[in-house]
Amino acid sequence: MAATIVILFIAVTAAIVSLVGFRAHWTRSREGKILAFIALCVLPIAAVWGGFSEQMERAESTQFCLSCHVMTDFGRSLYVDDPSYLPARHFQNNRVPRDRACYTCHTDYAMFGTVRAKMRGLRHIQVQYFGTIPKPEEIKLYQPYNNRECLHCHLGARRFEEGSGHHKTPDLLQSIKSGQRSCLSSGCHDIVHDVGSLKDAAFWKESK
Amino acid sequence: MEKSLIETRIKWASILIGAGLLIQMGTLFRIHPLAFVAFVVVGCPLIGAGVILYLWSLVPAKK
Repeated sequence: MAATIVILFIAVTAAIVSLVGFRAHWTRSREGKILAFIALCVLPIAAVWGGFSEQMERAESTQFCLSCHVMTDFGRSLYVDDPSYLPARHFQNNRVPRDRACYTCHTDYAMFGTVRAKMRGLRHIQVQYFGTIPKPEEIKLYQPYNNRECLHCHLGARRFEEGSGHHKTPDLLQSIKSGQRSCLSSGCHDIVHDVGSLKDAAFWKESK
Repeated sequence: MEKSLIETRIKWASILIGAGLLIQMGTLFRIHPLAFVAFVVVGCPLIGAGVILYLWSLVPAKK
């Protein structure tokens, strides 16, 4: 809906800009000057602003992230029929919004986290079109995955706070919360996308 | 004379802005990183150049 409005706005702006261009002599009058200022300055800037925010919104969608070939296996890993695959378990049980699955887990829940995520996205685009694309199984995070991203949703949840797995030792829960013990790389939830193992995996077929 | 120069610049500004807007509109029909790149690298600079050219046309020529 928002995209349709932005497209319509840009189309109307383009029509007015063309009109002013073809009838440049109108700008000799005061009304024409006002029209030219609106058509050639105010409306184009508003169109860029609307288009840019729409593009930014789209850049958070799962479809956007998976549209590069190298990401195909990461998308398939969301459909693995095995609950030990952490992203699959989150995706299939709607623990993350399916249309924003990648962005939900791969953004920083901190000040300027969105900006940092967008900057990383620009780097991905640069590598995709101007760099050497690595094999899917060679793709790694820039930094170790921060527990903060998990705790953004799980902190305070009964299953997380009272789950027996998080109380195997008296200080385990606290060490998870403080980030001393990693959720993903301490041997607990260590099966993540694992795209190298997908050839032997069974996949969940979503019922329509 | 000056008026026709202004009108020429306005025409060129509208061509640049119109082209930029059409490219921007085109990029909104697909959700793809390449559409984003086209929006930022081609559409925005064209519109920016057109707006600057229009604003430049408002500056009086040297007498």
